[in-house]
Amino acid sequence: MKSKTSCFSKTIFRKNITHFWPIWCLFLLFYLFIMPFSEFIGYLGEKAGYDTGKTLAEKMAESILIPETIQIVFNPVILLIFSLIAAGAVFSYLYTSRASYTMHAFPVTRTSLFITNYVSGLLFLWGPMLLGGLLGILVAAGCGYSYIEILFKGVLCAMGISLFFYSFNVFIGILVGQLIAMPVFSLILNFLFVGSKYILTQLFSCFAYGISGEYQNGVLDVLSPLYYISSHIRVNIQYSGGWSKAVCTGMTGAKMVAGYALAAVVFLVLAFVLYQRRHLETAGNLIAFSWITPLFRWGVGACFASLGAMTAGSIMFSSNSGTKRFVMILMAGIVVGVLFFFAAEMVLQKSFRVFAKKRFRECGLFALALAFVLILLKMDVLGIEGKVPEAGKVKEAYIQSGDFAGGEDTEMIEKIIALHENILSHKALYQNIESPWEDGYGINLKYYMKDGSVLTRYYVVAQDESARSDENSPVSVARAYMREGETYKKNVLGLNYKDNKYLYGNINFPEKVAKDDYGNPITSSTSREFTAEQSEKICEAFMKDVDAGNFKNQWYSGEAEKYDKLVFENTISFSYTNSKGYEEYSDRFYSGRNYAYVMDSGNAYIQFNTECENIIQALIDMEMIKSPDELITRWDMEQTPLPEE
Amino acid sequence: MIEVKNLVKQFDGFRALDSVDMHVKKGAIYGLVGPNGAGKSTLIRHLTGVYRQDAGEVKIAGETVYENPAVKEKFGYIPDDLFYFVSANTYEMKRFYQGMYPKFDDKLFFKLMEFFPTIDPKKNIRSLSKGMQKQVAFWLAVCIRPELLILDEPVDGLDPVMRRQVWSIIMADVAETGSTVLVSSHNLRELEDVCDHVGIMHQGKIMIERSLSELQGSVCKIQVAFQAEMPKLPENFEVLHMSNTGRVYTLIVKGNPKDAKEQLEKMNPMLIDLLPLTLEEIFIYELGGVDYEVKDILF
Repeated sequence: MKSKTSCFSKTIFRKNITHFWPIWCLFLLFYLFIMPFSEFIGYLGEKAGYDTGKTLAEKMAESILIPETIQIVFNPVILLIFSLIAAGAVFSYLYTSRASYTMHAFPVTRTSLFITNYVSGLLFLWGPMLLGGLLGILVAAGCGYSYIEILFKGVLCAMGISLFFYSFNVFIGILVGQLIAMPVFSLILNFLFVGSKYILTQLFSCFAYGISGEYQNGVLDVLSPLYYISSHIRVNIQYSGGWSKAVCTGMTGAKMVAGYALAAVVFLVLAFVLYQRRHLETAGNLIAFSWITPLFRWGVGACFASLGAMTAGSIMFSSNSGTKRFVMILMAGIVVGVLFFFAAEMVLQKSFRVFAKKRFRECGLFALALAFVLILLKMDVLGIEGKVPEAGKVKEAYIQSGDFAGGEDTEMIEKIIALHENILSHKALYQNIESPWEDGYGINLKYYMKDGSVLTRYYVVAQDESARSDENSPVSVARAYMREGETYKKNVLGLNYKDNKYLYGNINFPEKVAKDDYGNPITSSTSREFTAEQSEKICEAFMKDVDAGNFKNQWYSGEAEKYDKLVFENTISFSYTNSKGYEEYSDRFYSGRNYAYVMDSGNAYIQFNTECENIIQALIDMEMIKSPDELITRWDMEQTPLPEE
Repeated sequence: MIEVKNLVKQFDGFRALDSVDMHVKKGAIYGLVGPNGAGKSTLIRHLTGVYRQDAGEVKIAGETVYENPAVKEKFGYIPDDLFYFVSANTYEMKRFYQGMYPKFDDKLFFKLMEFFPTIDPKKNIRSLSKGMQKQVAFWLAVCIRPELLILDEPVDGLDPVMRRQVWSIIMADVAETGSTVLVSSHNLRELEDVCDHVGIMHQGKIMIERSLSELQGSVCKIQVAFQAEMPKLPENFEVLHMSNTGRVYTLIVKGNPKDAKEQLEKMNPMLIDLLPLTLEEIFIYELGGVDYEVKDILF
């Protein structure tokens, strides 16, 4: 009969606190420095600062020091490192046999050992964080800072994130038998999903039409915690007046942190169960549980096989033969995969002598499985290549090819989906364009889905004479979308162009001034300035030209001479402010609506052409030029003789 | 005090313990001997609740050891490879042991300080020599007032004076408290002086488990000389080893020494002498019977 025992050992807890004091002291110093100390230094700085006509209380109330510094407190990379140190310290006895045997020979159960050590490590993380946070709140309140609630929320988020990383690292620590393996596996597992997805996407792009290889965020990215947390938690700060004024509009990512805190409980339970089953004789082995070793061999083999196949695919990029390229990819994948399968076994066995019959049989099976998966990828059994999203599931859709089009408008989303289907219906034709860079026209499509995932495609379509003359061809449709009046105005003047308040502008006049050592022309340009009123007029003229369709021919169709004779080398530029914020199409395309920093001023550039009669007339009317002859196209520029020596 | 039944432990398919049976009576000083790799340390790690067995039972004072702190409080364990916390000194380790073992005798700790004069209790234990670290282990183990002391190669690394000192402390404790001692060692000469029971392990099994006197009474060394060559010995006369110098034969015989001597006397030897057998000789000759004899090496 076993005696009733405690689940917590005060003696081991005391030992942890007294022996690992450098660790929690380091954490404490860090949080004291980041929060109360930096707040006080900030306060002294404001107090001794320049006289701006504001009282100290006003300056403190406007300060965004707290929202800025709290981002360091919940920085996931720092929290991951801290949690690795804490978990590594309190469970370090598991990694050498003598320490492990001694600790387990003491009159204490494994339950008690686990709970006591787990709590000790968590206290190393949470104690300094809470103390720093509490003092931070007191100092912030005393100094009159705003955003104290952000400090509170930030510390809570940091506690949630550190709870997750700590439990995750303890779980890994129980699985491995060497201390150094804990951070290595932690780093690998933190990026395993997104890394594998990236490599597979790259690999898939080698033989699939339209798969760009660009990483696309997805819902399952949560399986890569460091990556996901880093990209989803932030303090929202809105800047205005250049970067001089800033307002914090709150925090994003608290719900996600709550989700990870729940996952921490799962990892804690798993770690506890595994600890009970862990054989102490595995101390010093890379992996402490024999049932994981095949997973390790196959996992390492598969990851490096994908990497090898991806590299082979990149090297063979210019190959026209799809089959030949695939065979090379397949062979490279299998060879690299088999090599790393045995390398993983060598690491596990700590020996080079791993070539046993049993292992060769397993490796053969691995190679077959690898070939099978690559063939399935090539056959696109998951239908990734032909996937077109349903309009109802899309939140935002964009097209990009030099210029941009798209947004949240349902009609636009449907149009982009229709273009996507149009391109895929021509797949057989476009996939075999001999020289994609010369004869093709690249179109990027991007969908921000309602579930948070992102779908990206990059297609090269034909832009030859017949495609250009066919108004239903993808190249013509894409052009029409981007040259549509409103869309084009937004491309040039910003998304909120109707609220632009122009400050000043200029037009430049380039000319050849000299030759370089190789005989090539060196150009220089002079500029003529616009007032705010003149800038307004030029913009009005630009919009008239857009509405009149005078920009519809201003795109490069593969005919250099035609383009160079049409487009002026002169560029008009403006600076403006906008009460709704300075936003460009590119911001939306690359980040969706999901970005934090919004400025209230920006710049616009107009590249115009010989058909833009309204702009040219406006320039004449305001005496910027006397006649259109003062403007110069690229073609004219090239024809102008170089200055004499 | 200790009862082990059919204990089995495998490491990656290798059977390190193969149905081990072991019995140690309360108050006994039990010497566990065996060649390298016999499984002594593995067995001890089961006795101390470090390893979880694949099969069988390990009981101390009638209770299962594994995951049973109440039983673990009753014994002190000194492993062959000692471990102390980073930067801990003897006082800190003492405080840790005090927290772990409710019966830790603080007075005894200070009383024993004079027996370990070379040890500075304020000095980091890891910076002490291996022998000094072992002394600290003894010091602490005795102070927990154990009912059972489990010692794995205990005096390995100690100088002769300290060996004697340590054994005298253990013997005094046994005499005072009636505690049980299980000691695993290769130093059979020393075990012979302190043990009253011996278990010989080989290839994961306890081959022989007897009191030392029984063991010494079951094997003997006889020197005998005949006028002519050695006569044919009776069939029930079990000779473990025989060597000769001229007409003087030295026999290691299994069985009762008196009976063996009487049987040889019937063959009218010129001289016959019964010699005591050391534990080391018993160990060598017993294991010689299971293919672990000392081989003659010819270069």
